[in-house]
Amino acid sequence: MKTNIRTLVALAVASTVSASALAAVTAEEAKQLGSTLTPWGAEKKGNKEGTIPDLSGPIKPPANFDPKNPKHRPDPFANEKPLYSIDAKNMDKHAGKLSEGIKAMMKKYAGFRIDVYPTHRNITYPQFYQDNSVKNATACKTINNGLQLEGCYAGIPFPIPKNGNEVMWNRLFKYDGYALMSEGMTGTVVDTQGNNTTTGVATMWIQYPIFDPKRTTPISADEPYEKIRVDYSDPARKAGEKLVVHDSVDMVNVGRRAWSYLPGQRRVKLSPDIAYDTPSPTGGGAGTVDEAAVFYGALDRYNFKLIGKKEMYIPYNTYKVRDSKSCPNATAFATKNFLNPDCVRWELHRVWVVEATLKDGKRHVYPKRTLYWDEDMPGIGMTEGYDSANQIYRVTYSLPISLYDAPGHHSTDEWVTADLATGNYARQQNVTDTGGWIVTDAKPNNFFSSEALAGGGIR
Amino acid sequence: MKNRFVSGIPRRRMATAVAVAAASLAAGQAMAFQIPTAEGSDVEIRWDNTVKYNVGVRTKGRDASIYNTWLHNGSDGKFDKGDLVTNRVDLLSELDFVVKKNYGFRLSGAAWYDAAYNDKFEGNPALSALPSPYAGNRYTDTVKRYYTKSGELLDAFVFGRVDIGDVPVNVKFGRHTIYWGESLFSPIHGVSYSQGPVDFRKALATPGSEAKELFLPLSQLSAQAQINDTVSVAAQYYLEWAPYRLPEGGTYLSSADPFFAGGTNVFGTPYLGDRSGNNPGNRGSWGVNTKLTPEWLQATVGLYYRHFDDKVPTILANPAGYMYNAYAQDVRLWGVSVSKQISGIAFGAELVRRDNGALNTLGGSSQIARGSTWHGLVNALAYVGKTAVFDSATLMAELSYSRLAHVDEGSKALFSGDKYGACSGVKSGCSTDSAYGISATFTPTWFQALPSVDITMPIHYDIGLKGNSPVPFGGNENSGTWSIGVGAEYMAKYKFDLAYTNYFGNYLRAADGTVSAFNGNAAISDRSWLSFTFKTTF
Repeated sequence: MKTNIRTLVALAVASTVSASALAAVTAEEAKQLGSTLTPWGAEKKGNKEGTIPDLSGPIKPPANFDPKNPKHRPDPFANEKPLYSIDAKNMDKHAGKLSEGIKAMMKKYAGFRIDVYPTHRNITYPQFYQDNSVKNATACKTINNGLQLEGCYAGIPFPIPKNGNEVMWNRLFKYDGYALMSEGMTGTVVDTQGNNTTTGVATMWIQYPIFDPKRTTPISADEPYEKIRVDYSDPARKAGEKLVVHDSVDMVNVGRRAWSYLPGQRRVKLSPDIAYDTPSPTGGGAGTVDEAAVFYGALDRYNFKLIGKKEMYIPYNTYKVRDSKSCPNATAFATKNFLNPDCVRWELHRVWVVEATLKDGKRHVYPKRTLYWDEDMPGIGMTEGYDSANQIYRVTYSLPISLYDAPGHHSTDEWVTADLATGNYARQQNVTDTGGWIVTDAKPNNFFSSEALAGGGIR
Repeated sequence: MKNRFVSGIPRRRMATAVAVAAASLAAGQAMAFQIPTAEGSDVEIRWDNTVKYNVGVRTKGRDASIYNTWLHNGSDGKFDKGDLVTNRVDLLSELDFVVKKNYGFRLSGAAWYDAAYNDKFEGNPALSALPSPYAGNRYTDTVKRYYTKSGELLDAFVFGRVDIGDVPVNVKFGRHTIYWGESLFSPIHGVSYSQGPVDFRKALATPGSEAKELFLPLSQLSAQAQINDTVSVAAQYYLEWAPYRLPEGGTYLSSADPFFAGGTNVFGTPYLGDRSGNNPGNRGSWGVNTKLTPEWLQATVGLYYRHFDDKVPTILANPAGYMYNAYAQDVRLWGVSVSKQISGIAFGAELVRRDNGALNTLGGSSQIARGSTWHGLVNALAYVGKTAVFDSATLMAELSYSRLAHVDEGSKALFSGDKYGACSGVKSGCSTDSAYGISATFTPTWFQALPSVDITMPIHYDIGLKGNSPVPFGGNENSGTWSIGVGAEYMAKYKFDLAYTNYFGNYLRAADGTVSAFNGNAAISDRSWLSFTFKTTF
């Protein structure tokens, strides 16, 4: 009897050990980074059908790119033709590579289609981000139910992710650049009659303090990883409004802090609306705050289950829709219910699929959502949110490009949301007609402080 | 904006753009108005014009007690049930001129025309034997100006930013508004008290108006420096003084026919209003604050000191035989504020001490009752996401509190405190040692209820829960307002609002049925009205 108990205890201990071994990346696995996997964890090789190529290195600007006008980035693949198009009629043939959200859009809207182009894998990153990503494979851990980080460096936190929260952290630490800005970032909602409403025009700055290239220290437990500032100029009733948002690595004790500058009284108030499922300030009711850029929020309300890696069609290298010569707003918004399919480039890529279900006792307008993140660049993705009747409610996808300005810089925040319940769609952080994002020098910390908004405000 | 296009206006030379803009304005074409400047220019020009049309109708009949009381008959008599109480167009024009994002000037001005008003004071014919507060039953020019047609300059200031080392210092000079603290509704109990003239006419006519809509600019020099990302300091020095704007006697939402602009009389005694030569001077008021956002606290703390001349009048009687508005001078105010987000709700709080401030003064006094008071407020701003009923909603609520600390020597006989002597009874409007009240606005929103139409339903309620505040306009027990409205916004540009507004409060009746004493909004408790507003900016 005694022996039996001892055996049981031993077995239990052994199984605990192996369970935690399963969760952590072994030294053996980590060795794949740089050999079969890229430093950031993507598979270097393409697929055996040849429809996904090997990783091919940085994007090269086309000959008609003028470095003196870096905001205007012509399509390097302008000469390519779609391989095929997929719509309601032939979607069954491609069902395995289409997200549920895209399938729902095809079923609902006869005119909706995706044009599939040859896949290009051009994503690269600055050396420090690559080096830190390799370090992170064995050093970086989530703690406190996946809501805090420990021992992580400024790279992709989990190049070999083992669970849903780790994939989501990869998304939150996506590398677009250290400091970026854009003038004329625009939100537009298109109603079922095809009318466009401009919901917001702003100058926006994004800064990731953790990605200061000079930095060598690990990311501390409670520092901000992302700061944004938005100065609105349109519509007229929003002119003069400003917003700063700080997101902390510590989602438990610190989380998000947002402040708004209110014209007229020239003071700053906390803005708790910039969170979770409150309507996006420039979404015109189509899309939540945490659906911005596909996912922009805290992880605490959901259980994130890693489904695995799949080959899927996602918008990629969407230079066409982001070039005012090829797809000005007037063209992109010419369709009802969805962004003009003529403008959007889709490619086949391997994506991490994560299913989020609401935790007990938490509330959100989407009790369930599925998220798809590109293996090369977790800023590129798609999502569908379900309503309480388990019907697909909204479908969101990013419209990403890589920048030509500096190697390893990207612009992946722009997104479009189709609201299947109302038939409207909203495109946000659109810079096509107004000049694109540029890589800038970092702003001092006090530029993003709440009271700085009040001091500099004139309305 | 370099390289920015608005509403399809291509980049062109500024002068041309202005001409085009003016032409399209003339053609009645609504457009957002960022004037494009030449490529590479560091100049941004923005000109916005907001047009508002407001029509309102009285929905409640006259209360005989109020209508038969001399003090109220003209305000109640002006419009009967079913009459248009306002039929008004407002224009707000704003011009911003910014160079290199850091320097420039701003001008704004307002103009208005209200067809529901003429210059006639229209009292109860049954009281025509009594003296009218207005000579010849005609409004004074001041009243006529604000209630019929006129215009005024609002903001007019230059601004600039200089960097002292790493510290950006923002300076503004000219007419502008500076408004400190965390208050959402109360223009009285926060650190922002008398920081600028507050438009109480608008506050009453549009219940639930946020504090930001009510503050009027004053000439001043102000500066703010962001020392680092957690500490900022600010200061202001005034070069102008102007009083709060209160509803004028004989107009729809006035509580007392002879007051406040002056040029009227109280039963034959001349009331000079602000024309007695006793107004505070333009200079001498100033304030400083610092805001701290220490990482460990996860909150913003503000510390304030202000030295100012009051902008809320106390009506005094001069032994020479006239009445006039007096303002407490050299009031000192200390304040502390906190703002912190807890469980997704933004909480704000302020604690204020006023010394040498004005207390409520007995009618007929020749001096202001002075003393020290404590003031506090706590507010919450919460957002509710989609529910089965609405797409989203905003809740703003504020609890305000005031307490008498002490009455200055020599002021005890002047203070209209309950049981202090000459004043007795809360319902008569006498002040209590402490008072608290609440204001709340709940606004559900439905996005795209119709194509490109967002619907809102603002519901507002405010009431003095307990006591009459020891300071003027600090709130009265059981007095308040409520309103409910429906708004529709088309393409984020054209806003239509329908609102029903009601005022309430207690008054005491004399033996003849007239009002012998009233508290807060009691004198306008029969002025319920329905309003329709259209607003657009181009």
